[in-house]
Amino acid sequence: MRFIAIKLFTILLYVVNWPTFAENARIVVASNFSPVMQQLVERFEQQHIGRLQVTYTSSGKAYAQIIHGAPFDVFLSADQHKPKLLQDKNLAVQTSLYTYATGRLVLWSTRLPNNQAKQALLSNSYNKLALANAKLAPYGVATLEVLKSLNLLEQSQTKWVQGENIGQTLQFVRSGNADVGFVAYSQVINLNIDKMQYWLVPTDYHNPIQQDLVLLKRGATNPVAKAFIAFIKSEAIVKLISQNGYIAEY
Amino acid sequence: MIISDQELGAIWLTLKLATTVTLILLIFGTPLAYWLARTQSKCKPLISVFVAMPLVLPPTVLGFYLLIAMGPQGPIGHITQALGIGLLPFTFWGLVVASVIYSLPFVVQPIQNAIEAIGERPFEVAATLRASKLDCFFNVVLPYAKPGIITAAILGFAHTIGEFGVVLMIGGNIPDETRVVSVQIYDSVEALNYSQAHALSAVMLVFSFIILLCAYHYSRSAKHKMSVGV
Repeated sequence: MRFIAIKLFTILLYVVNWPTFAENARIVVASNFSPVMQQLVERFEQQHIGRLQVTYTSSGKAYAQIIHGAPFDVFLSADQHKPKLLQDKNLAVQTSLYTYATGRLVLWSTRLPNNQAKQALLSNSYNKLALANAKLAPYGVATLEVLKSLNLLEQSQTKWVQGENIGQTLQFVRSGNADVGFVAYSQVINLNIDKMQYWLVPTDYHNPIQQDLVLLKRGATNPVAKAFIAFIKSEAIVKLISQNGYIAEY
Repeated sequence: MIISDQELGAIWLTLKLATTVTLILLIFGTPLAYWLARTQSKCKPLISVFVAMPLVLPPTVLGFYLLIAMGPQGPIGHITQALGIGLLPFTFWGLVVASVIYSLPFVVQPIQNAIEAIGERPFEVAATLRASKLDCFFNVVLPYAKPGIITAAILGFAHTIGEFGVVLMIGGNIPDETRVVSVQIYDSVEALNYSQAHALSAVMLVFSFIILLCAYHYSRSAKHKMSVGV
């Protein structure tokens, strides 16, 4: 009887500790990176034993959840600011900051004739300009810099419609409600949009949109989390990321 | 706690939106509720389902479909463009249309319940007195259903104030046009301005508490009055 009790207790311990036995890592990822991340997860799980549990959300929400104890091991942010803050607050492993992707902007239109998006913006002949909210989204900050470079900041302001993230900004343009909009290069690549429909903004029109990842305190001793970070820094993956509309160099 | 001009603008806009939506819903929702309560029509289940849909649909689904339907290629977009109104997304009236749909069940259902609770007797009496349908609506239905109508107005108003997902989808975050309180709070949280988010959230919390307290208090005293026959 006593033997059975001990055995049951041991089984119970296994069940309770199951997550540590089945190796996995919890990754929280900025939504703009989700198409690429899905490819990464597939490749990673082919090559490694561990499993990745991925949560897609905005960087602001991820940050708020992490500082309140959310069980994530790695954070792929859409900016550099939030991973840095987490490191300063000692919630992330020191020196684990790494720029995994640098975003690029395009001016896209589904309403205007081919190659007319930029011209329409310059001549002020459009109904609405969709952009990501600069208070929230790094792509929004870069968009304001582009408008400043083009001397259009004041002129365009009354026509702004702001998405809370770059995904929503894409919807505004895609549904045709806004004639033109600044969205991420990675998004139009992912949707296989014809090159004639968008203008790829030259990189010297804005500061680089650098996206950093950080290893969180909870993941410091997790081998799968560490393996994932090594994986994302590998040559093949850097190449994959750059093929998806980001600047990434090995 | 300091409330900035921008936040005051958002509060004002939200109140304006909720008032407009509540008035429209009372004007169109009351006859609809009356019809639903009294009809023998075979369409009744179908219409009831359409009215109740916003209760179960995620607001983002509603917002997403509205964005497409009110867009230049969508059916509503075609109509508004033909009428010379232009496109509804990113405008105050776009939010009004969306909120009317979103809050419809919160107004129609309490009124419908109140009318159903009247029973057959008053309608029979009205009929023997040769009251027309219109007479009956204004002199039987409205007085009897008054507590239900007031509950409906409070719920519709409060629910529109709390709306978020739909506005996020079709609003475009334009100050004094579509940036309502819930969106303003969301922005503050996302931008890590937690103290601003706290201030506005506290305002919302107190407001919701008071408005619901009024609703419950009113419905209790109305029931009491009905039972003592005042």
